[in-house]
Amino acid sequence: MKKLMLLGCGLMIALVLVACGDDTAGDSDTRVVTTALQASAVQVFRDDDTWDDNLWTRLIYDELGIVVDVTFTADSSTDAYSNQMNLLLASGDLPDVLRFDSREWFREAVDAGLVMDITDVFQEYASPEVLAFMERYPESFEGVTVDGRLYGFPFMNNNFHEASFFWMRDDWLEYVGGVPPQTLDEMVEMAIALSEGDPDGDGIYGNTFGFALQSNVVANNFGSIGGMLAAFGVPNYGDSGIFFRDADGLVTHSFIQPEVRYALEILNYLFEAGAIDPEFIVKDLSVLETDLALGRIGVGYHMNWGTWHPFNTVYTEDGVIVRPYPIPRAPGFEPLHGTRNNSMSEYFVIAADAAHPEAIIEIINLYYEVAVAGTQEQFLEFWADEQYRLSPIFIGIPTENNAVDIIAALEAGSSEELVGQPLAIFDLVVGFEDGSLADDMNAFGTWGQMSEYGTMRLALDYQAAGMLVADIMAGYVPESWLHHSANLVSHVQTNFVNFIIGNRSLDEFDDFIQEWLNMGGQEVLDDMNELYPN
Amino acid sequence: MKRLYPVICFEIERTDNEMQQSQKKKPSYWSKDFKKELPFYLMLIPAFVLVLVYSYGPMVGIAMAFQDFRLADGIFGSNFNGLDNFRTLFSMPNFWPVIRNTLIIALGKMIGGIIVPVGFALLLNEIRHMGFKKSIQTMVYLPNFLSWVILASIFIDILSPSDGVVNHMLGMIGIEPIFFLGDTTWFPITMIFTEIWRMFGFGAIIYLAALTGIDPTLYEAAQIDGANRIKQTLHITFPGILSTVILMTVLSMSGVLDGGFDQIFNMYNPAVMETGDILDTLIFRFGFQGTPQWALSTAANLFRSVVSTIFVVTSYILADRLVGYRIF
Amino acid sequence: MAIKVSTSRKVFMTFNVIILVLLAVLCVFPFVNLLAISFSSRDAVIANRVTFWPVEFNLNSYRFILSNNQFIRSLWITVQRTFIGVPLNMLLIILTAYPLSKSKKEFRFRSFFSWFFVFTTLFHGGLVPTWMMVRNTGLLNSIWALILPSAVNVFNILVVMNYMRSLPKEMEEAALIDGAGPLQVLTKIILPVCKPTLATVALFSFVFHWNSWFDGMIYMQRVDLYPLQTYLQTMIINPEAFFRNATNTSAAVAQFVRLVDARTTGAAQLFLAILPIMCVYPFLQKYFAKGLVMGSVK
Repeated sequence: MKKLMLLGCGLMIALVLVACGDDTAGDSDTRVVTTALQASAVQVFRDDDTWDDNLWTRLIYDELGIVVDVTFTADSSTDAYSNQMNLLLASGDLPDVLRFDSREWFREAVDAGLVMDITDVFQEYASPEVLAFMERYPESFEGVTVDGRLYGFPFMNNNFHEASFFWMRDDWLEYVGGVPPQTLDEMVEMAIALSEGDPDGDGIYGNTFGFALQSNVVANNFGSIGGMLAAFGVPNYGDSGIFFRDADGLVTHSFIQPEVRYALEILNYLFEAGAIDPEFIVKDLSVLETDLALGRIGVGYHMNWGTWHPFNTVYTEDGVIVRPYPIPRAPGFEPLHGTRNNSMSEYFVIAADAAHPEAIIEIINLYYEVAVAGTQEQFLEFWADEQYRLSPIFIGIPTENNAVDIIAALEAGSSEELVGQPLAIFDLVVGFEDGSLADDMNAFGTWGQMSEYGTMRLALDYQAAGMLVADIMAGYVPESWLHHSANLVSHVQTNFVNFIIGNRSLDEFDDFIQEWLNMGGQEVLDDMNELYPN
Repeated sequence: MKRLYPVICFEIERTDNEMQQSQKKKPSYWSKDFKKELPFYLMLIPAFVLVLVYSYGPMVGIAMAFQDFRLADGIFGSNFNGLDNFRTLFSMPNFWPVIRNTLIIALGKMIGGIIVPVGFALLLNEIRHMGFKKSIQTMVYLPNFLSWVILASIFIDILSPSDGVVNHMLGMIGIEPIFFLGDTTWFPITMIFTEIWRMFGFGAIIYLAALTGIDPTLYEAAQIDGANRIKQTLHITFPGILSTVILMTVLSMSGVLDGGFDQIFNMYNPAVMETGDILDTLIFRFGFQGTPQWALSTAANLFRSVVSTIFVVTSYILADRLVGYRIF
Repeated sequence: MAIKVSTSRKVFMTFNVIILVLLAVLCVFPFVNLLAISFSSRDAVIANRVTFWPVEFNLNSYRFILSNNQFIRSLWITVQRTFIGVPLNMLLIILTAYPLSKSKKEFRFRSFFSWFFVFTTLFHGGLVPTWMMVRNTGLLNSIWALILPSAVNVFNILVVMNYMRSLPKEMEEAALIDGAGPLQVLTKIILPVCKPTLATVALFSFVFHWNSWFDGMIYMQRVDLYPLQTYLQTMIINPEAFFRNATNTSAAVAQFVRLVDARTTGAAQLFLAILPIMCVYPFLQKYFAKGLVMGSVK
């Protein structure tokens, strides 16, 4: 009895102590901006920096006299941020400035009147350089414009780099004669040769697979079939596919093109021939990565970040480079690569009840001066090592934007024209090539994208040849797509796999299309035609 | 012989008492018995308040199942659309196959999840060497703490048809390799077995605790009566833990539509969707592939709650009628 | 007392021991495997060279997990929630289970209250409304958000209640005749004999608090307030996304990326997470043993 009473008293005391714990009063003179930071739980802080007191909060206070109050942080690599964001929206209690990485949040928040119309305050306070972004990236700004009014500050987008590439290990390429396949026929032949032969040189024939495939065959990631679909002129991007116009100008969708069948037939052939791991259906990316590191696979489609991941493991394990090539062609077809729409992006918004919206615009101006147009020292201090995430608002400028300049500088062998981020990239590429940064994974990753062998140049070639198709779906998403997308995506994933492993006959491919349309796909296409008339 | 069934006899007596009680109606409850029972009410207050606030309070959210819910309008501002969400749900072509898969997997786990831990507890109870008993117990409860994220990768390894340990051993006795995780027949069976493997040790704790509660004098008396071990188990041990077994069975009924999200989600794949897709993975896809669809997932959850409730109430009544045992 | 051991009994016991040992091995294997992985080099793990013993022994995975002082902060939060949460759980379990263990004659509305609690295991308000309630009661970002909403565990209450009901009624009747009140009966007569079952639910409650991660993720709005499991979850659960953003990966993290991978850090996380439970379990097991000895309640 006594014990219970003691316990109860202890709890009460603890409760009171905790309740009285936080009580800090704000200074009424200084401008306070509350913010949400989306960051990694393993965020690296310089010296003794913390979320509340770091190089960005000090800079902002010293330069602008603004106090940054971080009310909210959540991890960026899990569902934490999106869970928190959904909950915040439901409560309507937003910090002054925050980042949305979903179009739907943006629309909900604007509809609910939670987001401030910043048209005037942006025009009045933004520096000329920041205002110029509106001219340079009109599509991105279109994404945050509702009825002619500006409701946010977007990430600038330049999505041409999102195409598919064909990646091969250097030593495996050597094994099959040193010439990458130009056509899908050559690719199939090569894949079978690689799986029956001994490209890894361990003396055992047939313990390798000539074509990498992961369980989510339409992921925008390593081991997808996206590049093969692109070869047959089917633009696609990730498991949702994209919407584009057919010959009649009507909206259609990636995965219901009749040409998809040709790609699936080839894959079925590769599967039957043993060039694809029969257990690929249970291998997600991390398992596939293990097979890659073990040297059991060495060829496959991937997006542009291959040298960042997962081919960096091959480089560290075996010292072998996995290199990108243009996708092998299907004779008689013009390749088409899908990309997201440039106005689908991430957005910074200001809460409707923010006390000092102009302070937030001033922070953008400051960010531009320091982390975009600043010196290389400033760039390394305030941007590198994820430090930019500590700023309440930042300017997302795609590397792609500087691609032409960087490639030109690399060809000329001179970095004179470059400053800030482009210069840092130039140094990494040069450092990797001359060997001084050969062990630096950032240098290897950058090299795979920006060097003369990199994906950026291939993507520029694709762009010049008119092979890129942007998703039509931009700012407005039809309700029907929200309702049906999950089921349609899983229908595609399930059936493509069953077609590939022969569980379902490809003679039924037309039935598959019909099922897709009946499951709500037709409704989505009708709505899309209405929302985006030609 | 009657003394060999202490728990059940005791319960039946109690039910009889209750019946007598209700026959001779008291004048007013509040004037007399309430005072006597007041301490019970006081004891219940803290838990009652907490449950009222944190469990019943949020139940207004169930209204979303009947709404055309929009976050911007909130629960109190969104329009009601009757049973539209349920119509959408039930008309989805994969909904009923998913329910069938869920039932098969969940029932398999429920049945195995009672039998195996009880069997294990009984076997372990036969051991008299305390050190050995403790060590075994300590080891078998470990898998319960391995998350499915980690277990899935282990099982994908050891169940692999090409180089997995299990198929290697099957091969030695002349059985063709089985693709446990890629075959529509084997997938649900594999799910049931791996889950039982994971939880039986931990699940047995509760039965072992119940076994310790059995009066040892009963065994002594039985030995004097000349009952052998099997008879002792049947007439003393088993009745002794019967109440716990029934309780666990009834409680597990609430999981009749719970196929085990973490496990399935980490192991299912497109080739086994036909038999491996369960209600929770379906709801997950509403919620996380694309934009959260609160209304649809609330409707699906409500459907599950209603079905579970029907099963729980039915088994509660059955336990009451068949063995005269009130669970709650 | 001499007990005659029959042959069939001997055969049975032999098989019994063999079966139990096999089961134990089956259960321990993956754990030993994971422990070995956590101490092995990333290369050895990727090459599938690790089974029971660490290969190229090192502590990199542990260093990676411990490299951030957030680990210590999160550990402290978890310790707090466990040390407040478990006693509170136990207090509520005892106070609730006892009245509910009474018969209808002794406590008229017990059925109503039983169903009142059981109902909450069947119907839930859902994520958003629950979160709103926690927010409206002012618990957001406080340790109490991890404790109060889950303070009443109906399952544990039913377990204890069931145990109390199986106790002989005469025991407390005697005390009642002596003039003791219900609270005294509970603390003096009932609780001492409930030790085995209380130890069991205490373990359940401890494991629950130690392993919970989702509530930390939604009720704590700042990463520096995350309990341990939430923090570990964010670190290893999603290596794909982690690496996909690798263009922004800091040099310090990149250093580790070459030494560890999701499997080694995952294994290390598991070991760190299970360690306290392994320490507590034998301690509680002692109580099970005591319960066995003093099982006589008549």
